[in-house]
Order: sequence, then structure tokens, then C-alpha cells
Amino acid sequence: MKEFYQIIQKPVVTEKATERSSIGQYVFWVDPKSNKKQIKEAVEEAFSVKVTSVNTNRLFGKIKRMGRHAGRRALRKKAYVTLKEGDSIKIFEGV
Amino acid sequence: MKVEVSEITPVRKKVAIEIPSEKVDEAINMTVDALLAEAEVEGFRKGHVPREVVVQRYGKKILDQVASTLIEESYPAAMQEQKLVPTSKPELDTTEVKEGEAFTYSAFVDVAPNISLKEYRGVKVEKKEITATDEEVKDSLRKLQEGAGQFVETTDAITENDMVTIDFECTIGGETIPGNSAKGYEFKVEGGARFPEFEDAVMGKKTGDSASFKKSFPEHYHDKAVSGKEVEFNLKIVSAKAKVDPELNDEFARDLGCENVADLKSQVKKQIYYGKERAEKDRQKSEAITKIIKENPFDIPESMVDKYYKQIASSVLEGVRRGVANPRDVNVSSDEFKTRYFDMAINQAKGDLILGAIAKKENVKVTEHELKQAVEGLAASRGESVENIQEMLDKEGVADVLREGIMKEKVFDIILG
Repeated sequence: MKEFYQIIQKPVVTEKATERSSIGQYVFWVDPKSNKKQIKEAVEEAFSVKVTSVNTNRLFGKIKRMGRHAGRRALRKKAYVTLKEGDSIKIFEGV
Repeated sequence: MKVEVSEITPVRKKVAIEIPSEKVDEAINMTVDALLAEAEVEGFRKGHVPREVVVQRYGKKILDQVASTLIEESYPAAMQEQKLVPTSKPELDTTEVKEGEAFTYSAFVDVAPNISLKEYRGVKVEKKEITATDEEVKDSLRKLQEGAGQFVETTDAITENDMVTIDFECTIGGETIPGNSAKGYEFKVEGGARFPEFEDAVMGKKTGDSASFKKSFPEHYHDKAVSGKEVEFNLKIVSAKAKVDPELNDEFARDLGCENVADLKSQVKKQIYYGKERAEKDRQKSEAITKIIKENPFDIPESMVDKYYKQIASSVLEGVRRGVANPRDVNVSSDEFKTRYFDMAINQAKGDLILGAIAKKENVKVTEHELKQAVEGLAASRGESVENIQEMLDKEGVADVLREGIMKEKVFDIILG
């Protein structure tokens, strides 16, 4: 069993992701090998909230070449976690 | 804003200032607002970064800035409220800024002393007669002549103060050493030659004469070619020039811009008189100031003395650099130097403070008209246009110095009656 900190890597800090927090949805970079169920449990454990749904997408790494050699950047996975109404996660602590 | 002043010494105060929490929050908000438009964070377009992100990223910076803006705003206001005149930059002892909490800090600052003026009008100062004697006029005329003197080729025997040009050869046992021989070597017979033997050799000789002398160089002489050897110098005098001073006649007077000798004499006399008059006036002023300082004792903040001391020290060092002062007299690290100039600094600082206090009491003000006159005077004495001088004053911010000078002058008029 993976611990929550092995599944949730870090929050996605972009304009688009921050916008979503107003409708109770939070976006995280997660372990590409984890599934929705694991993500749900991890978020619930880490932030003491109730998760109603999880959407994920996998972002394949770009192919980069160095002369003759081609390589691929790492696969990443984003999870859109929707919380039960009223719950919230404080990603940005104030001063 | 709450301000509490406690006295450390009569001229040093501790000012404790408390800024209420609402003011602190307001300042924080303003700073964040300003940052919102500026901040660039990856993932966000410029100007679209959410407040929380900015606060998280720039938290420490924001608080530091808030602290300094709060101090900048409150400190002068506090000083004004307490009617304190700071003479030094405040040393600050601050606490951390926190949202929703009052901000307190203490400033330690030197203040101008309260001078209660007693007696300054009609201070008794010894007044000395000034005259320019004929002797002095003669002396400075002599100097003028010497200054205008020129070297003229002569065939007479060489005497002191002549300029001599020689070719010389340096030989050891009949062999010439090229590095130590020269053609057209010019020197002044007055300790100006490389070796004193040169001067002795040419003394009394004429152009075209030759001479020779032997010289033993010491073992440790820097030039390896001649060190520890006896060397023979053969020299030939190529030319000799004697200094001829112009005669004191009408022509000489005209060269200096006067009509005739009598005019030149009266001009010189006038100059000597003015110089002495100025020196006497300065002497009277400093005597008056010393007396007034004695009459009105007061404390003086250390920082002020320090400032004056630094000014004096740097001007003394500048004197050394320009070769006016003797470096041997100016051993900066010595205690003697310090005590000598420290007393001077204290006196200058006290003098300026007292003059300022008198100016305030007598309501001495410098008008624009007076300032303009001073600028015109300066322009005339420097031979530059008024506009140039004015521009220079504006650029370097020295108009205040000029203003201060005029004010002091007026105060002295009052003191000396």
C-alpha cells in the first residue's frame, strides 16, 4: 500500500487550476501509476476532506532528440479532485 | 500612532513608536496590491496571479517592505510631533511586522541640543590695526619679478640657480658605459642634478668647457654596471642659461595689467591690505565664537562631532595629497592627530550650532536677492558667467552651502555689531 505522500506529488499551480478551486475542484500532480481510487483515498487522508469524484489525465512526455538519439520526457499524471460541497483545501498558506 | 521619548543623554533620545494594527494591515494591503500588478509567477500571466500565491511567494519581502514604509512614514512625523531635531540617522530597533498586530519600533537618535542663548551681542573682540607696509609691498613686488623671470642663454660663468645642459660620458678604465652616458642632460644648479658632483663640476665654468670627476659607487648601488666601482665622468657643457628677472619699470607694470609702476605699487598694496583685512576678520570671528561658546555651554551629540571630524580629516588628507600639508605632520593613526582635530571638530560643530541658534532667535533670513548677489560675486571672482555658476550650484546642490555662508555672515554682523 502506498502512502498518500507517494501518490500526491504537488499541487498544480497555474491560473487554470486556481480557477477551479472556486467550484471545489483541486488539481494535483500525482504518481502516474496510481489509480482514481488510490488518489481519492490519499486526498481524503492528507487533507481530511471528503472526495466525491476524481478525474485524471495522463500527459505523455515530449520526444526530445540530441543528435541521433531520441528520448522521451517522463510521463506525468494530473488528477482533478472534486470535494464534497463545503470542504476545501488550503493550498496557499497566508503570511 | 503612539510615541514615547526617553532621554539617554541630553542630546541622545530613544523614541519608541507604536503603529496601530489597522495601519499595519492597511500598509500590508497596499504593498500586496502594488505587487499584484508586478509579480511574475510561472503558471500565471502577469497581473493575473492570485493574491494568495503572491502572499505565499513574497511574504517575507512584503513584511520587510511594510516595515520600512511604516518607519519612513511614522518616523519624521513622530520627530515633528515631539519637536525633536535629529542630527543623525536613527539607529533602529524593530520588531517583526505581523498582520493584525500593532507594529512597534524604537529609534535611537542624536538630537540638536537646546541652546539657551545668554550673551552674544557685542562680544568684546580685540580689533587690530591693519596696514600694508612698504616693506611688504617691496617683498611681493620682488616675488612678482621673480615669478616672471626667464632663463636666458649666457656665456658667463655658471653660478647657482642656472639651468645647465651637458653631454656626459661615464667610463670605467677607459671603457664607456652606454647606459650611464647621456646627451643633452639638463639640470638646475641647486640640488637638481642626479649627482651633486655634476653641479660641483660645472660651477664656475662656461659654455663649451669640459670637466671630469671621479666617483666611487657603493657596493649596494642599484645599478649593477657601476656598483662598487670607481667611475670617471667626462662632461661637456652644451649650454648654460641664467635666470633674468624683469626690471621693475612701467613696461613690467603694463605686462601685469597696470598703467605704471606707481599704479602697480598701489594695486599690490591694496591686495596686501585686503588679504590682511580678511585674515583679521576671520580672526575676530573665531575669537567671538570661542567667547560665545564659553558663555553658553551646552552638550553636543557625538555623531555631529564625528561628522565635522571626518570633514576636517578628509580635508587635511586632501591637503597632503595635493602637497600642501606635510605628511609627517599628519599621522592619521596617531592619538595626537585625533585630539588635535577632534577639539577643532567640537569647536566647529558648536560654533555652527550657536550661529544657527542665534540666526533663529534674531530671525535672520537669506533672501533670494542676497543669494543672487552672492552668485554674481562668485561668478565675477571666478571669471565665469552667472548662468554657469547657477547651473553648477543647482547641479551639485551646494546652493545650501552658499546660503549658509551668507547667513553666517549676517549673524556675525549682529554679533560684532
